[in-house]
Amino acid sequence: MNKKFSFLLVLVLALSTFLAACSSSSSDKAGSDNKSGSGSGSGKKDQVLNLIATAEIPSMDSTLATDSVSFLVMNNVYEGLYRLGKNNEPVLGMAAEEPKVSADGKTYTFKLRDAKWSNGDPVTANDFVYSWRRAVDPATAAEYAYMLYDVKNAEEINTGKAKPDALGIKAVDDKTLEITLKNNVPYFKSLLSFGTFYPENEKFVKSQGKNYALEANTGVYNGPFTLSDWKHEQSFQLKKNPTYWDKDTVKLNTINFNIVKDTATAVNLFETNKVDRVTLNAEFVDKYKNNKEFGSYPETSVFFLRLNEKNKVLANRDARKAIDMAWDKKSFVDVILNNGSQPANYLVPSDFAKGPDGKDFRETNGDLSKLDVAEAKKLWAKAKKEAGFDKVSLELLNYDDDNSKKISQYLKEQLESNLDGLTITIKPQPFKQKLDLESKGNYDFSFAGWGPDYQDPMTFIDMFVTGGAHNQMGYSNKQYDKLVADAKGPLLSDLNARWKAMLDAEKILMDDAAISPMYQRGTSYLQRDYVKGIVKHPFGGDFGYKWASIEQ
Amino acid sequence: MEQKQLDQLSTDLFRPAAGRGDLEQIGRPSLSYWKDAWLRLRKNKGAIFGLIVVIVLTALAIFAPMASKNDYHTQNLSLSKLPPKIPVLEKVSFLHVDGKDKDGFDVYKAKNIKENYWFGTDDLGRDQWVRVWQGTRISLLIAVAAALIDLGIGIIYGGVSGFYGGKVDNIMMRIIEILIGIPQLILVILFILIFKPGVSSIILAMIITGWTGMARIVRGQMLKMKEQEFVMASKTLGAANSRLIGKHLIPNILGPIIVTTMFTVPGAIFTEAFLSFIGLGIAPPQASLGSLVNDGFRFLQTYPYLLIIPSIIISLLILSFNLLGDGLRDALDPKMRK
Amino acid sequence: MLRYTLQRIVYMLITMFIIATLTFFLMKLLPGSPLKSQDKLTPEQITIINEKYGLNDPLPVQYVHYLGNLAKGDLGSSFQYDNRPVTELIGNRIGASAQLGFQALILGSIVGLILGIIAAIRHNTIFDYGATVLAVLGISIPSFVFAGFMQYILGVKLQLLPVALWEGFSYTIMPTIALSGFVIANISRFMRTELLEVMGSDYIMLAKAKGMSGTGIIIKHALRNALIPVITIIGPLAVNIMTGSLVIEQIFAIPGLGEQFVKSISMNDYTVIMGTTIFYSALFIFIIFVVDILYGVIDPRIRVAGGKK
Repeated sequence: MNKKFSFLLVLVLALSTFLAACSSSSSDKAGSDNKSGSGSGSGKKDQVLNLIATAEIPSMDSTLATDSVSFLVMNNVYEGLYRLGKNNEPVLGMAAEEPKVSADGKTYTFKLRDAKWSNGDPVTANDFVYSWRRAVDPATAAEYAYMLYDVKNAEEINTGKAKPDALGIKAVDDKTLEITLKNNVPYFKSLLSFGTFYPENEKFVKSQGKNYALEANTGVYNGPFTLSDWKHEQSFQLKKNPTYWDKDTVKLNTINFNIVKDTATAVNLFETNKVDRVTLNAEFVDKYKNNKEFGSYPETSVFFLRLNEKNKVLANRDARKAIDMAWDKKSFVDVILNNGSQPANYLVPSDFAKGPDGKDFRETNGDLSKLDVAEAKKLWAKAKKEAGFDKVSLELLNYDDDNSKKISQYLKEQLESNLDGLTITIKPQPFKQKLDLESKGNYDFSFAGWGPDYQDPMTFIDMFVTGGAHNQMGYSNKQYDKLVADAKGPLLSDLNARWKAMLDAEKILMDDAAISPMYQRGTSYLQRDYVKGIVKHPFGGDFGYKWASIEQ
Repeated sequence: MEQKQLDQLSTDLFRPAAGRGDLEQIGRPSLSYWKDAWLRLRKNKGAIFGLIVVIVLTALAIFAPMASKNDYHTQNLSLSKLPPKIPVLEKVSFLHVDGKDKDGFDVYKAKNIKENYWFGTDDLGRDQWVRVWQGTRISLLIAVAAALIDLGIGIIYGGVSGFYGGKVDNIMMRIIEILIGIPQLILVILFILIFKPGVSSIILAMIITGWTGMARIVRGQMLKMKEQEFVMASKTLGAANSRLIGKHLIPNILGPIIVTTMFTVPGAIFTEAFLSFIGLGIAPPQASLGSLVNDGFRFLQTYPYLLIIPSIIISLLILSFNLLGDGLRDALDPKMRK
Repeated sequence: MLRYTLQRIVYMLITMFIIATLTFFLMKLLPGSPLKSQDKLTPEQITIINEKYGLNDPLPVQYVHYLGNLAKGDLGSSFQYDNRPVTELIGNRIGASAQLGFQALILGSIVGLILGIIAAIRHNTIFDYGATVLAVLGISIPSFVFAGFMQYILGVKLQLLPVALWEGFSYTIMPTIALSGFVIANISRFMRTELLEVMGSDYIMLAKAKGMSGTGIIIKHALRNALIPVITIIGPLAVNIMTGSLVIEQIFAIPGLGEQFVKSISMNDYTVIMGTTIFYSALFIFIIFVVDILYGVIDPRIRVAGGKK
């Protein structure tokens, strides 16, 4: 008996030493981490906002960034000539006053305000010249270089046909900047608030070399906040920037971000008061929709089915129309997405761009297709005769995440039961492989989405011009091509006619059923009552915290 | 102490031995190896429990989807997310199969639904009862197929490697190391990209690297066994290699092999679930237990029955396979024969 | 022994070379580009950017280039995290994964051994079944389901432990427990099987006949022999935990390597996939090497060089 006991004792001892070793090794870590103070109890008084990021920041170099997390952080720590304001209109940032625009609308002359980088250097006109040239230089290999293609010679430089110093930007003196455009695009001001157009401190970038913006202390900031701490894959922290020109407007002292990828985990952290705001998915909307901290808003991304006209059935307009009309978008959005998304019968999202008449694009054009199963069946029968088929099997190409799978299954069931003789096989593929198949045209129809690059309907409208890079389904309509070309060229000086051309182009797309629009994405969230003034932006960085505050 | 007890033995503890005839009889009938194993398996309550559960679940997996008037893919969004309702058991409150959601609201009554969905419905309004058993069917198919093929390849490879040892062993083990060194995920992704997603490509993908575990274990056992006296004796007596492997080595290492197989089955069920998790599992709308648990996981706080029911069935299935495996090990071990 | 060790090291290098080669070419078979905004760029723009990263070169050129860098210990720079060196990416993330894996392995081994020993000693009793059920639960409930419930009950409802994040020892408890289930199950099952086998062998009979107590036999003879096969599975288990922890890392928001790896695959981030693969492979081969050496130390009957006929 004694021996047995001693044997157990040894095991228990071994176990306890292991535990002791573990706790001692990590106790110092716990101590050092407490200073980041993610407890919300103290947060309220101190103007500390605790948030969640869904991924590590891929890049803090404004010329290289392409993703939403990077742009979100950059929108709050950097500032371009303009910044999107509380009402999502471009308001003056680094620019001291509205620019002088030449008669042809192609040359902008800006006066810069007296602003400083967080290391004390002044923000100069040269900082813009440097970063813009860097962005279009093919040696930089910036993926978003094409954002600058409206600037004179940008495309030529990027494709190696011209030298970077030929770019249409010039520092007249330290505080005067002259920009020359290729076309007098009307949305240029809002473009100037976008990440790729931010200035970069040449001296600082060069002194850091390869390490520039890889860590919190190897970057330099000119926005309302600075990136003060960055633990990769774990957390990062923004602090109020004392050198910001408009620092009196900024109320928050600290914003803590923790990187959490799982929605349920994020909600649990909200429930235990670790964070002040969390994004919900469909499952949690059911649980929280009657909660007073619940809210939702529409985003500006639109999702649709690409109908590949290489397929002989889908080359038939009636067949495409039948597919578009045969499935119930409303139930789909309400039951499956359930996150504030809206059914889409259009391409250009609502609450995104206003015309010269001050009306939302969507308000003018309205819904351009509808659910009508009886009509869909008629069209389908007609298509069968025209294209000469009786039974057809189509492949639905989709991403491989849970949500996309749900969508595929729903579409399959709806279309198969409403259109006789149609069989749908689902092909889920990893992200990059799906895109690759799509760009090669190896699919029948696919689930796709598009988010705007600039605040103008054209970012959606021009996707499907004949031979265009994003027209991956062989769609072609001369009348539509002409409207797009006009709106991008001759009509730039007549904004009303241009607007009308874009409205008409969308109508043609929908009438041809080039795509079957699905939904405009929405987001549902929970946010503490004491958090005020977070501004949601329709493009660029998702949120602005410049005006946010914690109220008692 | 011993002495004292002996002194105190009373005569009525003794009884005359039975007649001569009885003594001559062989007390234990001569039984074949398998019959003997079955007799011993039968005495093991855990193993029998496991066997029964496996049989019942398999039967349900085969017949339940056939017997239901619903199928696993038909959707009805107006009937989505219905809680489970089982007629008699609904009176037992802790089971929560009374058709009421977690706030105690009777959804069936509110929506005026006559039909009882025993396991409820999922977010697309499909009958979860049928989906669960359909999923069990697919999971069992994948797991058993993968386990059997792993077993075959593993025994041959590990057996040869361990038995011959030396250079052969060295080369064969290096090949295994290389195979394991390449992340399974990359191979599987390539596989699914090249072949159409479906049951057979999942099984194949699992086999590519799955057999290596079995091979390593067989080899380890082989190395241990072949140094043992009875093998040496047999060798000395001039037994051929094939006889050594077939008659002496394999039966003696059957225990670990069976245990490993009983782990391969649940392992395969989980690999499949993991594939579903990263989006490469079974092609929808087909279901497997893994994909159901995965889908259900998102509903942990809102519609927990979508997670709990398939989880219970997975656990029950794996537990049973393990109990059965343990029982088989004991029953098949030649050293346990008396 | 020294000769054997050197020989093994040479084998290890050859293995690494083959793995690196295979991974490289498998990688190139994957369709799609590593660029982040593949869906936004035109084919011409993709060509321009590929030029800079040498992705337009013929495959053999890329391969030689890659091997050359590898020999220098340079794993290249990531595509999804602009220009961040892969070695730094791995370095930043491996700490959490390693700590978690190590804790789970230790906890799992100890609990697994205890359960296995109890099950073997009290063979076919209620203890045996109890230990079996407990052990099997470890692999029968998917770890993420277990983790999800644990997080909700212990973290949200009872508020005993932090829900998630990575800020100190208390934050590691739930993920460690969730990860160790797999280890417990494997170790205890193997321990039970092996111990039963050993207990039935002749030398144990002899020890019993000589009057040694049950516990004495187990500690002196049975455990040592039963541990051998158990050690063989600890190596693969360790790697399994490291690679398989991605779900747990995601649920508890732990900055580990597993999740990073899966993401780099779906993003076609060549350099990160190859770097991580090589890192994992090296780790794995090293563990197998150590296990083989240990094998010889524990069981004098097996000489690792083998083949003494």
